[in-house]
Amino acid sequence: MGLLNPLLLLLAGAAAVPLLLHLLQRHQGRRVIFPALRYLRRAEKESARRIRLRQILLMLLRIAAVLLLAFAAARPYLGFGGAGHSPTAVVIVLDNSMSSAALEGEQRVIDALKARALEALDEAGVDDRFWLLRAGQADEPALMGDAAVTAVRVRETEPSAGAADIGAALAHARAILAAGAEGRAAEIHLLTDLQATGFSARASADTSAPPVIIWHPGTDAPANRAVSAVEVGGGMSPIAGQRTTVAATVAGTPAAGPIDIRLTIDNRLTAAAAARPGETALLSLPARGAGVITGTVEVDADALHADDRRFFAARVLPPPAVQLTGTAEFIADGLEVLAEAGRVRRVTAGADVAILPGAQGANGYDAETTLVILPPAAATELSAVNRRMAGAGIPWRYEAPTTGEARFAAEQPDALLRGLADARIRQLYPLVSTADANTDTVLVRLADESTWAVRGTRSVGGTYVLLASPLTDEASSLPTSALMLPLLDRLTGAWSLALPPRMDAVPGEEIALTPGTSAVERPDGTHDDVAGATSYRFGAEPGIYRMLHDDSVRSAFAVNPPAAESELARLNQDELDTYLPGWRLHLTTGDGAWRRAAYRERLGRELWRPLLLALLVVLTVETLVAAAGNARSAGTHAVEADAG
Amino acid sequence: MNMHQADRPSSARAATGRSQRADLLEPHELVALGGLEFVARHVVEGFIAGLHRSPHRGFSVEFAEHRMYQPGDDLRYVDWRMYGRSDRYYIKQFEEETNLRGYLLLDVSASMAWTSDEGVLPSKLWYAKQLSASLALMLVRQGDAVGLLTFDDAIRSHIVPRGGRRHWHELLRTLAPIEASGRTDPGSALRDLAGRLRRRGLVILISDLLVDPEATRLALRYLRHRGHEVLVFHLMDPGERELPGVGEVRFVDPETDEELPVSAADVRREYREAVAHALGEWRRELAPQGIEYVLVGTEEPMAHALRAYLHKRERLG
Repeated sequence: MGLLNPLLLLLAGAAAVPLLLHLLQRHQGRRVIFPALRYLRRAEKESARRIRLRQILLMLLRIAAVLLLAFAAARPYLGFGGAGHSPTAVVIVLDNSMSSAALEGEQRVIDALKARALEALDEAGVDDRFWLLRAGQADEPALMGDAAVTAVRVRETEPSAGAADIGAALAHARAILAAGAEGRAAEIHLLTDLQATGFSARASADTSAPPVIIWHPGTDAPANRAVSAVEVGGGMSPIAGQRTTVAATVAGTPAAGPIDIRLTIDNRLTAAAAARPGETALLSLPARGAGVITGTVEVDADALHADDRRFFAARVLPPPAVQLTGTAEFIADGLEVLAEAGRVRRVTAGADVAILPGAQGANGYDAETTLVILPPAAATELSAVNRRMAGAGIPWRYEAPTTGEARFAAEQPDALLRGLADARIRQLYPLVSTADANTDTVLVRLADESTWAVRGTRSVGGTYVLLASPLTDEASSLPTSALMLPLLDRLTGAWSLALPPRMDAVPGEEIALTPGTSAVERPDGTHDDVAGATSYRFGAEPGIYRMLHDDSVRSAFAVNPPAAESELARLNQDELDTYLPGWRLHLTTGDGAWRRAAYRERLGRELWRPLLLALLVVLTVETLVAAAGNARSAGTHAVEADAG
Repeated sequence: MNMHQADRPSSARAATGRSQRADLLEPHELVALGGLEFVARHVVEGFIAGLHRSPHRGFSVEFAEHRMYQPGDDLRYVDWRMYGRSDRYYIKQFEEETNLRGYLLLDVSASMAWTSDEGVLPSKLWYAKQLSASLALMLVRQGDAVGLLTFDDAIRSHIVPRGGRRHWHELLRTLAPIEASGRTDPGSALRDLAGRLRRRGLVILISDLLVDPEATRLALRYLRHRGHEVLVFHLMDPGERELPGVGEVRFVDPETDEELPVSAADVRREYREAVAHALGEWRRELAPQGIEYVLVGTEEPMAHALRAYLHKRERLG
């Protein structure tokens, strides 16, 4: 309940008037000389109790009348059940993440969410203020406007290919309202399918946070199947002219049967397979020439179309010519295997990549050869190694080796490198930059943030890659692990060729651009001019984004929705409270409940009419009570009757 | 027209219109006639003239003796035969004239000065003085002795009973300047009177009876016990029958200055009942004692009171 004119409630102070009159009245009446006080005293004594009760009743009725009048003047209204509401600042958090595109019956979830938002906007008053936060487009700022403008934006909203972080959106909404409500009531309208993956982190709030009125479909999540991951060549770049495989992992409702999977390259169906949710199917990728290869892996359409197809991009490389100097047993064996697999060519001169343990002969290569330098096997060679590196124009030096057991950082850019988590480094030559301003790329870090692999450009031209540990079984566990060959492949391939570490991204993600990139070709064929830019933010549209150097495709990125968006499982009330502790949540579902819950500070039905009716009743009763006293005094003239 | 004029009995209005008999005039008309003597004389004469046409006329008194004429004696009672024989004027005195002594007890307390309609309706004291003068004249004309005692909470003046016109004029001279003041205590005045009266007589109490009723009735019973006939004229202003005013009123007793704040509308009915109860109580308590109680409204013509007196006088023989 609230008051439209709360100041007029001060009129209630006038209730003291009847009370004061009641208390003072008997001392302020007209003074009349009257000798028959004897009779009057007897009359007053006989009627004192009745008069007192009647006067108290009259006083109470008059006080009630004043209070009712003051209350009616203040225009009270109920806090529920009405059409109006007090001026409210509302942040509409519309969850248009990819999952909102799922069909429930004949309607998409997003359409139901938009309908509720529009219902609330229909009830908006002229003093309301709105912000629209599209939770599926995290990079988009909040859109402020009145109800009409916001309604247009809501209608225009379509599911994005991204994921929502509802906790972050609520925190953002709270900050907006704290700064922009300007005295209005504040509340957050959260319209969401309550997808569990949208609540990845706890977002706490205190009691000062505005109320959050949540509408959700209130149904079980529809069954869904999706291609959750695609890996080309088992994590290693395909080699030109060699067949390889595409591993497609299927996600979705566990009880579902086998799902047909199709591999499409350059818009041509290339391979097909079947797999159950949770399984990975290997699809054959025919031999291709060197260059960038792009394609899709698809499953049959279901309730959520947006994740039925997953894009991928890979670089098909020619096998590099690799030269190994000095004795490095494990490296030599590894190169031998890669050579047998056709992924490298062993050469003794004219190498694309020279692997130089202890920087042996580092200053003897021109700029066309990438130098891969490893620390010496013995610490006594350290000063000589550092001199060779300096002589080759490499602005780094090795420090004295440390012993102990070091681990790789858990955060790594791709699946292959994440496998390093199990490896142990027992001998580490800390890498120290000798340049004033080092812009080299750190490829792998250890858990203590120290550099383990770095790539840069020599002062004399050409690329170098430095490792902080020798690839020996004394120095680390890597040479004897399954990671050795992929690591050598990465070392001689992507790292040495300065290729981007990965070729996939999520919508809206920002990446560093390779120097020389002039434009980005979007999935719809339009170009974004990025000449001179150092970074690029992908759009919301999934697909292949091609990085162009002039008119040639230098690389490509497959932008896909986050795989987690395909998990449509929804939170229940208890889980929601766990993820959003401290928030004042009002969970609703269905049309009526939402209408009643939105706008907490409702101007329900105004009460002045019933109050005035009550006032009329009180005044009528007061008149009757007062008239009853007068009627008594105007009764039959008993005096004359008795006296006669 | 004020309330009292409106309440004036239609019979009285008719009488006023029919004749100029002063006993039938309303008090506010009597006020305009003149002073105490003039009014009393005309009231009594009018009343007696009325009696001649009424079944009550004639005094039925018997001759007892003669006495010397004195100025002021009624010439009708001069014995012309004795004048013829003795060349002196003798007045016939009757048996009853010397048998009755009338005592007029007049309440002159402050409450008697009150009138509910100042300038129109005379005060109770005016009415009481006029009634006293009229009754005294009637007594004198009947050959009775009449005395006067005025009192409030004590005796203010006392004139011993005597007969004759001169005595009546003396009474008038005493009555005329009386002003109302003080509190009322007829009980003590009556007890005092009882101690002074050696011969039995007719005691006429004229008061508004705003007194301690028990003490007053006790004193009246005492008088009655001493063999006196008692006639009580209870004067009441019409404004005392009905509580005046509206809303909250502080009523002030003129005798005690006591204030009583009441809501007039709230107690009007109870007041009316209290008045009725008090009047009924006077009547109920006095009648068994052989005490005549007459309620006289100050808006009524004098004839009503005089008739009550005459009725009493006739029973006394």
